[in-house]
Amino acid sequence: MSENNTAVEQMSGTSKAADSIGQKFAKLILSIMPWAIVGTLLWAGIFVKPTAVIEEVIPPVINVRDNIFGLSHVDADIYMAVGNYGKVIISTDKGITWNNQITPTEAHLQDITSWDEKYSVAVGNDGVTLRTEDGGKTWVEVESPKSDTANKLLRVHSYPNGEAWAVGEMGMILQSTDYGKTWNQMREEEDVFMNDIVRVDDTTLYIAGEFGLIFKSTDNGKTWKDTQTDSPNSFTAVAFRTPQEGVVVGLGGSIVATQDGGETWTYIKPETSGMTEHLMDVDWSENTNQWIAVGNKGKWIKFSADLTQFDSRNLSDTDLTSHTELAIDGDGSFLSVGQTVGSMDIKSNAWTLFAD
Amino acid sequence: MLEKFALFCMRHRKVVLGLVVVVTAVLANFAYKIDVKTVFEDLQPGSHPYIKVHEQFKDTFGGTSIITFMVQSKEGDIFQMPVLKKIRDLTQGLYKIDAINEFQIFSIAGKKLKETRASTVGIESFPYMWPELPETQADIDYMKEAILRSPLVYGPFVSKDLTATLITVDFFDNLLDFNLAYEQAYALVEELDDDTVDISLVGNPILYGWVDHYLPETMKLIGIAAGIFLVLLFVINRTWRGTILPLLSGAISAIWALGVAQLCGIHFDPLVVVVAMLITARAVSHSVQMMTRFHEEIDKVEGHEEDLDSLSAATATMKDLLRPGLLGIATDAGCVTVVAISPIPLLQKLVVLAVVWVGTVAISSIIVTPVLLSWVKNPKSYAHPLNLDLLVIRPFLNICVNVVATKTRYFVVGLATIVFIVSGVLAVDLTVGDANPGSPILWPDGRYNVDSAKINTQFPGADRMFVVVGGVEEGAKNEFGGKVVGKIKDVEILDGMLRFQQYMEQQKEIGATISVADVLPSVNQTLREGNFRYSELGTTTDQNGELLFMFERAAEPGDLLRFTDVDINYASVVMYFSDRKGVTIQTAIARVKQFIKDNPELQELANFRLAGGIIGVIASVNEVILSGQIQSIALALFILVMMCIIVYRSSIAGMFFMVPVVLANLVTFAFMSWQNIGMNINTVPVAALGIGLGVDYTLYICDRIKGEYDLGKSHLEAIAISLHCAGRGVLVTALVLIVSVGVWLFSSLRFQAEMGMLIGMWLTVSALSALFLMPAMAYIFKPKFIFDEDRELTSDANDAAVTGNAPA
Repeated sequence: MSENNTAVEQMSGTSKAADSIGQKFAKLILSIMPWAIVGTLLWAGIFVKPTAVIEEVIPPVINVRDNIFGLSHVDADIYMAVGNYGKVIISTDKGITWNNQITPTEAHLQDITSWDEKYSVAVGNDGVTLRTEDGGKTWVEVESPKSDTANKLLRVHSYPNGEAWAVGEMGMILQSTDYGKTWNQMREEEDVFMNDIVRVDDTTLYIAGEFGLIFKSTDNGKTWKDTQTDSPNSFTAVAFRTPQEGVVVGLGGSIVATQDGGETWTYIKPETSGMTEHLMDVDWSENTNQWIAVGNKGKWIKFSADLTQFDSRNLSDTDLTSHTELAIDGDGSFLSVGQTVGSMDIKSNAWTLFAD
Repeated sequence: MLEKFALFCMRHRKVVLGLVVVVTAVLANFAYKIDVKTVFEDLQPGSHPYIKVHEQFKDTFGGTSIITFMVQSKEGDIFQMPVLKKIRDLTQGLYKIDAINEFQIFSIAGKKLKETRASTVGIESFPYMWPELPETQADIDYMKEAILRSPLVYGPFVSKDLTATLITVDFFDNLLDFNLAYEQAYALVEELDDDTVDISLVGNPILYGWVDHYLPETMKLIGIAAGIFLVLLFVINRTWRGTILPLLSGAISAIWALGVAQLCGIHFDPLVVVVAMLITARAVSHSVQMMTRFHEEIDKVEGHEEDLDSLSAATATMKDLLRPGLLGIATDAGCVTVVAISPIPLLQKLVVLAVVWVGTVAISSIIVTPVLLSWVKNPKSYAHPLNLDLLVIRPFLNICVNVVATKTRYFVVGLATIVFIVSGVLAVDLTVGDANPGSPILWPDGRYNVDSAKINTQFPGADRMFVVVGGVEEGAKNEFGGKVVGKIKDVEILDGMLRFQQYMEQQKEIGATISVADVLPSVNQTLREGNFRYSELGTTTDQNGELLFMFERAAEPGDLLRFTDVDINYASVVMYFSDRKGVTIQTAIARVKQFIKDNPELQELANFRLAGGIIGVIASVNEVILSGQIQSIALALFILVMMCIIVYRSSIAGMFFMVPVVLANLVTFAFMSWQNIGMNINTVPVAALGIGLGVDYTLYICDRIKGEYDLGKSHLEAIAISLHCAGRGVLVTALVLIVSVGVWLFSSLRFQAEMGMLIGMWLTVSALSALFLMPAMAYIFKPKFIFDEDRELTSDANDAAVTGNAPA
């Protein structure tokens, strides 16, 4: 009995001891916890400053502020375009959606031309010339002749076997024969704007110049002869549909045309064409058999090869933005870039806006 | 000591009452004269850097008081004579509105919006239709084209679909009277709004004008709430004193508080009416507690209906309830005081008002109520026979007691834990700033918000924020402490501004941005024969200087002032926001900071500074609220805990009383988050004051439990007695107040309705936790500060008798 009792006492003794350790621990926790909480509160009150959760912003490829100055129809559905602050973009669905490319410049790019899906060059302000050999995955800036006065390059065009011609301020005419790796200056510097250039056959090139001037070379650009047309305004673009038949357009709705390989130029007065706003680019639409030109304030014009029919229009009722270049698509529409990017169906005159 | 004080008051009850009457009479005289108005500057945290920038530049770059009219053609575009005439009439009508800043009128019929044209002298600018309307269709067509070509007008001031135009005007803040501006602006709208056009009107002066417009309705609602309150009290308490006294103590507190506020030069913002309700609710609550206890004391005495009984009962009541009452008031006041750390003047002034108000409850409820009760004759007579105590209240309180006595108590604690966790999770999503587009003060279908929505669908947005660039004045410092070296016309700075604008515009809520850098490319293009390839900034600083000079020469004096200061040391980048949502503003501010961080060299030159305009001001308020949010909650809880620890000399007491407070606040925050009610300048006072106000109910109940237990009652007996006395007070107050607060749901001000709902919810949670959760917790954990083991031991055998159930 007594043994049993002792055992019980011992057992209860140990359990009491265990209890008291547990109780002590609980008591310790209970007495520390309130002060811990009080301390935490004080600390939080003095030091904790929450920060705001920020929504991520994904910028559109073409912003409202982007001006797209140059456009190149690379191949089939592929277009490339350039704009301000070194912007180069590419579309593989006829301009509906675009992707940004990375370039090494912040200069405003004015024009781009492509030989094929891989080789392209772009030119722009400060005489910057960029080239790519891999469809725009990497763009590199290359050396080119520069003037001490002003260096804005305005247009560039490419021809087979790696040939390219670029023109710009201070009478700058540049030629490259190696896909834009090296550039040669083809005329003495002069205070005249060269606004566009076109090669029409193996030897002949034309340049749209300032104040009604057209330059022509028949020896692959070695020498240049200028012609003063009846237009008082500066020209901005030149295009030929055959070596004989070409059109030059310019500011104030100027249109001059030749049917005889540049021997004579006919000036179409704004009253005849109905176009008084600046025209910035012109090209021949094989599909609809007309000349197409775009320009400032949302204006565009289509006119016949024999210069008898003119149709001046607005892109739309509200899109009165300025456009600098167009690219004719084989299916009877053209893509136009400038303050906005869109596509015009030439026959129905329906304007589809792709980007503001 | 408390006992002595109570006896002293009772002994000199005539003197005490006389003093209160005199003070009340004097203060009533002041309270009567208090200004009821919204002062917009009071809503701005003056020490915040954004506000400093805002104050420095608001007069030229656009303040917070801009009002915006939208004239929308009902048929066709705005380019038709009747509509143009309306636009002209509205623009000229603006001059009839007092305190407008006539140099800040922007309208296509005004002088500030212009067409820039090339001319023989360089460029010239012409207003579109000022001072005369166009005469022929050809003139109208010409104007339409000119507008379509100007990105500074087409988009920001004429809608993309050409059916609407904006007319904005700023006020001289120091002369502005919201109500007058509201009346005159709407008078102008009424005069012109007809079959041809639809005119919408928004802007801060209009918004606060609406709040004032509803002031009579607010007063009416207060009246109805008071009426309901009185009827309910009369029905439940069945005595006139039980009806009048709580109202009287509420009124005395209000008079004292408003009187003191007036003496301190503090005005009364109509938006904080709900806060007043909140505090009055406290006064009433304490008073009802007194009343309930008094009746209990009276009931103890059998058969007498004499004056003396009232006096002794009142003395006993006061003596016993002084501690929980004063502790409740002290914690309320302490927690409210914490709000004063906010740098927003409105909140600081509110704290003074609230602390005084809460403090006066100590006199009006805790002293005046028992003193007046001491004169009650025939304390046992009732005014009507409907005894809700028997029918509803006691059965309900019996349920409360049963919950504690049975295993249900564990269920209650478990449920509370779940509510705690769920609302804790929800509360994390609480928005700082406005949670919805439009003004949260008014209902979405109210005229103001409808107008606001109309404008925001047509235009990039009516609300502006400006960022200031530059500052080459003597001694100007950039944020790195270096001297500011850049000049606005520096090509890097202008270029940086354009890049900044482009970066900011990527956020979809920022509809547009405008700066001087936007003007120069079009000037350049104009000078370059209009060739779009030259729509760019000048390539050198000199060139930009020339362009700026050209623009200035073509413009009227002062035209450049919306873009730069007179000396062209500072320039603004103005952003138009389509809403004022907290997250919109936070994102915009964070993006500005990100841009600055990504362009350290540019910042060295250009010194971008945040932020002015209405959005800049709201941003500063939101930042202050955000950073102060945790701070004020934590400090308020700290004060609460410390007070309980000191009074009950137990650290556990602090923890114990934190439970109902935290629970009530979490549920309220969760509700706000669920209902998309943001923490903004209007809701913060309620939320902040609510922190400390949740504890009173629990204090009364626990103190009574403790009192009864000390007298030798068993655990359950003590709880049951407490629930039937203090609990009755809690139940009656909560019931009466929740119903009265419900009146606010019918307010024309959405903000008041929501705040009414919040207060109702907060009262409900506080009452439920005081009636169910806290007694259950007290019984489960038996904390020593309530159940003092040193009392003379009595067996718990009586517990079963209390409820008829065996104790678990």
